[in-house]
Amino acid sequence: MVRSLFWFYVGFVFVSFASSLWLLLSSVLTVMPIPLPYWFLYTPGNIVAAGVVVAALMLALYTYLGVVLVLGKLLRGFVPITMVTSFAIGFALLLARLAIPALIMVIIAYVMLIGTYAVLISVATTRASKALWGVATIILTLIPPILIGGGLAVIDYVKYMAIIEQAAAIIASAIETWKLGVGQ
Amino acid sequence: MWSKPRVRALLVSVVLALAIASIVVLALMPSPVAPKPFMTLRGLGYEVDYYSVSTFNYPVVVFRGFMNGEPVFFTVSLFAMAPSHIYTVGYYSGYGSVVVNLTGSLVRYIASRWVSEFNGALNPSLIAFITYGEGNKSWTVIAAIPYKPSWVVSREPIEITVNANFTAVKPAIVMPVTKPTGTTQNNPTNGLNSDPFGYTYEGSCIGNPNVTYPPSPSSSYSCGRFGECYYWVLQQCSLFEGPIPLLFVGWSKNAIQSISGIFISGITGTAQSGSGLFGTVNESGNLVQLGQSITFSQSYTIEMPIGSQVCIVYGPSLTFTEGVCPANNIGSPIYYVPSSGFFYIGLPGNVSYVAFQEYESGVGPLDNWANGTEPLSLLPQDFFGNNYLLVYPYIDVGNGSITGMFTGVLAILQQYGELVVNLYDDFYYSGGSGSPLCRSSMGATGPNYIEYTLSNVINTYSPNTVGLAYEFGTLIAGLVLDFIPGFQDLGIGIEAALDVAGTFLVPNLVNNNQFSINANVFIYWQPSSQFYVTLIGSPEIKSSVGSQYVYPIGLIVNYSQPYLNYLVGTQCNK
Repeated sequence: MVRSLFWFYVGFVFVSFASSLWLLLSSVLTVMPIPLPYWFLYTPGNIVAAGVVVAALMLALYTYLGVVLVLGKLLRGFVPITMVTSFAIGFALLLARLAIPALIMVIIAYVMLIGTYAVLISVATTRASKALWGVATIILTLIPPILIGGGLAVIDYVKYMAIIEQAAAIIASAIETWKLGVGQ
Repeated sequence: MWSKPRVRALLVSVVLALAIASIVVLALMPSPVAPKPFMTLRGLGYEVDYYSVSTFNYPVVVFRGFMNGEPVFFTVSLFAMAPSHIYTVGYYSGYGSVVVNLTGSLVRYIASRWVSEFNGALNPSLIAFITYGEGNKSWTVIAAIPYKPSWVVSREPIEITVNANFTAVKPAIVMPVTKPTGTTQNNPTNGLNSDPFGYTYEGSCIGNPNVTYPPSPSSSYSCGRFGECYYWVLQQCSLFEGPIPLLFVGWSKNAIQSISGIFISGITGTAQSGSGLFGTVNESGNLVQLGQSITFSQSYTIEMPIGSQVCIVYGPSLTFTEGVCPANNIGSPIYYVPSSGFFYIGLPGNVSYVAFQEYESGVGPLDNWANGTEPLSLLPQDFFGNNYLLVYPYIDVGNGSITGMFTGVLAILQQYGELVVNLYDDFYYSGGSGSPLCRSSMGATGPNYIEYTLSNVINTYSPNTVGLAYEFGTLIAGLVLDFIPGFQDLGIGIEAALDVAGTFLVPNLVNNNQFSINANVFIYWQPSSQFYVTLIGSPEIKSSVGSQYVYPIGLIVNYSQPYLNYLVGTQCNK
């Protein structure tokens, strides 16, 4: 069972790498008025498209995670599945311009995402990755109250926290990949 | 695969490398998350994004042009709306992107006027004509770019990006005329399919010594280090004859039936020595000025050969006669008109449509064209005696130049929500009395009439002016387009739009010398009459001796409401 998670961790690192690279390049290009790296065509529309692709890949990965866990008789696998489902419903509601129900579904999805991280802690095979997932989970939990309390004034701190969270999750996944791939 | 530990080890190594790379990338990120535009606007073929971050310390507009996802060479003609006028900010070109600083004195002046007159309550727009040309086609994206005047005045680091996607708009075909269009216009409703708004085809002008060639291909293309040289060959030259509209008066059918008549008098003007006309060609999306191809070698007094006055009254059919004007009992030439239309005063001339192809010596023709128009000559009937330049009266009941212009005005208004002419709803008469529609009327009322002075002063105002020929160019370009019936179609909309831009936005160029013409227009009423008068203004014209503007260059008499009121409401901008 646990071995099947190998592919989840591999995918997680790949998708995270792609999304962070895209974020970096788009942020550089946005403030550069010169037509430098046009080979991948920076336009705001493409940024959105890439974001949608990354989100879809991530949701697919979490679905895979949930299915593998449930098949392995670990009912906590329903947590990521619930997360994906509620996020998809929320997104659909947003497209249908039903803002309030969409917000509720997205909040549920966010809570379930924190739960998913907790599930990842529980199935992690090394102490290091457990700790890193733990850091990521704590940051994910702290971000909403900080944002609500501080508003836009603290947005930069929240961004840095999000980067640290992202980095912790990536390293944890890499460690798990290593452990499951060659470490056993 | 599980049985191949080496492959798995390789994969794990790749994942580790990517993880490390991700961390590096995250650490490198200059701003943690991509700057998000705080506002995004979309129009046909373009998207405008506003960023509050900029690598510059002042406001800039960055234009990006794409064709099929590739950056291309394009030009930008940028205009700024002031509270009552439209100014040319400049013409720019570049490959893939063009940066325009909003720090110039003209832009700052316009912005400060918005701030002072409206206290920053209004957000005016820049209007950009973003053009890409390739071979025989050109694509134009017309973008309206709203901005806060305070950004410009206080030099805030705002970056506005305009992404123009040429793929989204229809191309205009601007290549050699294969089939000269008809010589007369029989369709009274619109002239879109054949005669280009009153111009008639005269024949080829290949070999005409007056044709001015484009400046040699730009320095990067002229003779290179290996001795290769490039030059232009005139491949097509079609001569057209037609009027340059100078002043006009328009009316609706109900209005002309309701009033006693319109009387126009005092049609005079001057053309100073040294003033002249220019040609313009479009080379790969670049507007290149040719000439000046006509220069007045002496000063002229402008007069109209049939006298300085005409009378326009309703009649069952279009008739022109001498007689006593029924409106005021003054003897004059009389036009009886059965429908809505325009009377205008124009200068007849020979205008050529030219298409130059680039050649490389020893190689042959290249796929690079420069096409446009240049005025070749005025007509003999334009001159009289030693010092008279004659302008002529024209009636346009739906197929002439003025109709063409207003077709364009409406197309721009409906497609882009921008009114490119200045309107002033001046006066209405109903129930036996008349009143101003805005605070004051520019007319002078008499016992049974209101009188307006129309004038049009043409002057140089910037070293980069494209000039009168651009007006010709776009007017004539209309006829060499692959015309599509109906101007809802984008191809027509854009060409008509360029028409209007050329006619109203680019002041006719006369090198530091002045060309001016005036007329007095009287609208006579009877107690039962009802009508609305809307004045049409030109942009402000700046010259080396100061700025001047002309208001109005035309007026329209409507019956049920002020002209275009149903689209734009009452206009009181002067």
